[in-house]
Amino acid sequence: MGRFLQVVVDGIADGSIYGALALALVLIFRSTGIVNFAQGEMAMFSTFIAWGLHDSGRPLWLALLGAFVLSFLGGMAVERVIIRPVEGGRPLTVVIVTLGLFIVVNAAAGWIWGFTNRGFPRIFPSGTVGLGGVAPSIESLGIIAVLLGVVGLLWLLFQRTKLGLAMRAAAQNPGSSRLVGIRVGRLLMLGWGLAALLGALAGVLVAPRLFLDVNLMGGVLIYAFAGAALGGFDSPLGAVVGSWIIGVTETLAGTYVSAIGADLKVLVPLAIIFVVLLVRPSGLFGVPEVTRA
Amino acid sequence: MTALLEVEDLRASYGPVRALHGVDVTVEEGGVVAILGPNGAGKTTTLRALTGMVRASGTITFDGHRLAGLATERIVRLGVAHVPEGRGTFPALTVDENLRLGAYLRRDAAGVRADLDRWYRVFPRLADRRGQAAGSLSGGEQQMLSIGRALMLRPRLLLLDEPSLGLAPLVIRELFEVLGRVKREQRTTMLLVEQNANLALELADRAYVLEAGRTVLAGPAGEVRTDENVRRAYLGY
Amino acid sequence: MSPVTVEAGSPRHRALRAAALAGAGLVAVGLPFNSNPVVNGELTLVLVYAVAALGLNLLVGYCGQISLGHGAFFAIGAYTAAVLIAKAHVPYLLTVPAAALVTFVLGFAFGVPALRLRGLYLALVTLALSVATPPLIKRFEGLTGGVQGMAVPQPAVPGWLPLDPDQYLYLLVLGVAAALFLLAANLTRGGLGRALVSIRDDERAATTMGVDRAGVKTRVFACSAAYAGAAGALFTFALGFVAPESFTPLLSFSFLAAIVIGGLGTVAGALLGALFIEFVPQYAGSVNQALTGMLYGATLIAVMYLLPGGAAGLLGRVRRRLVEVAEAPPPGGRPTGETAIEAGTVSPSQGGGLPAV
Repeated sequence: MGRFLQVVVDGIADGSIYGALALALVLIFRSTGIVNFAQGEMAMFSTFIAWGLHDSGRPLWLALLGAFVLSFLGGMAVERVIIRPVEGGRPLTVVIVTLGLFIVVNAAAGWIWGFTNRGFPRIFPSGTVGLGGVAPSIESLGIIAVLLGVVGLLWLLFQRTKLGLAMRAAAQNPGSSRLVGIRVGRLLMLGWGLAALLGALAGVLVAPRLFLDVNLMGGVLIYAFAGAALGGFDSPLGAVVGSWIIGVTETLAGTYVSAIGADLKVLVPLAIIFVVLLVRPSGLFGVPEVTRA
Repeated sequence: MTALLEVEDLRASYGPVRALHGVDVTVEEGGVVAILGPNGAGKTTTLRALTGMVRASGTITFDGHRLAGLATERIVRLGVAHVPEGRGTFPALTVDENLRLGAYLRRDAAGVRADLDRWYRVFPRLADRRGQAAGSLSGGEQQMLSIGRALMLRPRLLLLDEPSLGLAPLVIRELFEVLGRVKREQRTTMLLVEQNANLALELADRAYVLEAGRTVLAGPAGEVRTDENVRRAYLGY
Repeated sequence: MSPVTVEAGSPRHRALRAAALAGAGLVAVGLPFNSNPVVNGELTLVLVYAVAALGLNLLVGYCGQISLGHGAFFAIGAYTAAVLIAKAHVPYLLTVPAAALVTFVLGFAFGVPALRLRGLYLALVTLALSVATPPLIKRFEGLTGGVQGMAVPQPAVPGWLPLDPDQYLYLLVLGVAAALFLLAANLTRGGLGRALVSIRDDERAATTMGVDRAGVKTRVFACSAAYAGAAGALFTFALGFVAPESFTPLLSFSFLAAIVIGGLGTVAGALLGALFIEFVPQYAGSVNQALTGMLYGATLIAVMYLLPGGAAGLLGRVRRRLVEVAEAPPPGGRPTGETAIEAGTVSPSQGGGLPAV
């Protein structure tokens, strides 16, 4: 039983990492209606920046902070320069642009930092915490705490501040937003910056658990998509809950179902994506789209 | 005294289709001007051109500023509030949030709160529903909400696009009573596009009649009201 | 120099088209005799990718649907052919229609539920398909040879042909590819093609005019999957070896890149795009692996901004400077701009008056 709970906690921790990236995807989807296939690569790039800053001598907290700030600015720049020209166009155009961005960012990271893998410093102290009969790792608890903190901050931003209200308005109804004086373009940039920040967070949380290389976020992206699809692409709550479910399911399946080894674990989120999108595309928490037949 | 809004030779097109062929409108500070005319005359287009929602040529001078070519957000920042056709509420946000958004550009939190209280008194039905999603309100309530939202800006100029559209006669009466109060108490300058010529001419000081993108009649409301053609076409007698 | 004007469908037009095709055909057939085996192998792969791109083009360019999963159908076709040849000793040419049939059925089965989804969700679910492919291939080791892959004997040159193996392979694939291209050209010029265009341009209008939107979309998806499967079989011929690393999601992206760069909705675009995805990674790769990726991605983005018509669009513009094809006047001399359908005299099933693209 103790082992089971530990596995569940680890699953929630993994799910929290996917959740951070899923939140980024949902944020962008809600504000611009775009699925950003490059979100994972942007996160990977940010993680490399953190690594680079730390490797060149700066303390870890400063390296992380620097990476977060640069990611935020980078996300804003990507929206303004690369995405703005094709926003509102055909879905195919946007898909190809974000795929192109995926490829470019991936290659750029390889160009700057090479293709060999390297280690990323631990952010949380190693060790476990004894809670009753269970001993979850400090890292797992730390990751979950960070995600909850982030979710709380985002909730405050969107529900309790004028800026958050404006961002929600701009996402729902850009035309009416302009009529109250909201500079919609600037808020879109802000949304992308925030999303990039969330991605960077996911990256630095997952990097210590895996090797840091250009393919760091490829798998995480799939899991994040699954979490967002399960929860509903237009629901931030759904993104988090969906990702937790994915994380727990994947970890349990990997531990207890012998037919699914490490190699095939990825089939779990894929199967979930299939089933959710084909049965209930709006996900658990999303608002079903009314299609006028 | 120079007018608050001076529009000269306004032309606008939707793609290849020319909607306005040179419209002139003048609105004095504190006055109410009505634009009447049949469907497709270009009334809505005129208002949309004023807030930069459709590309137009001509001269638009508001409070000394040239509006032509400016982005909608900038025009709003100059003090122009627009209640569009179809209301422009944020259906997924609450009534309260909609009204607060109207005051987005304002910096005086106390003043905003005072205005909110005032408008809730003027629109008691909105006060009852302040926590509800705006999309769940009836048509009439949404129209009240839009007008309230626009007024929260404390605009220099209020543009109203067919406020009575789709509303029951009783609700329309109520609406125009409110507009009358706003005119008397706030002295807000208004430019009103309306199909309901009767009520519009009661409220307005001056009126223009548009047909096929051109001004065919202009003058004080009283005169326009007694004009033969107007009476037959728009007032029904 | 002003362009020569030719009326669409006239004998002169048909003669010009025939001449152009004949010229292209001569070049295509003559190529292998002038290049070395390595280049021939590459050219063969270009043809293979072109067939796959053609299928994807049917879906994306003509039907406006997005698929990030055609690499999966390609893989299924490749492994079907591989298993049939290596284990069941089925004659080579039969494996192409066999692979196409298998992928047609699977594509149809997948398409029925999937095509109810909006563009972005469809992209996502097809992405899941292509990500699932390598692990699934490895899982069914018994059939597929797993991670190590499977060697497959390649078609041998018949004794009576004085050709080298690489030349024979090229010509064999060329023959099959040409047949498939002709088939696709027919499909798009006929009733199905016009139905496709009407769906792409305005779904609701198409439905009101009686076009069975869902049925058409599913059939097109299945056809495009079949093309990918056929291409996969040809891939097996060309390489003589199948392994999971050949069928990663990157392959699906490459197909999409190919049709975008080559030119959406054009048959020639598939060929031009295939040339791009086969040769560019090589030459850029020899300089710098990262450079390939950056060039690829940047080109994709640039094409979407600057050249929405792709390379084929560019060539089309050049062609129009030389030869202008004028629309023939409609029968009965109706004023231009009014199609037969709007005039109410012809129904869509007669292929009456859907606007030319």
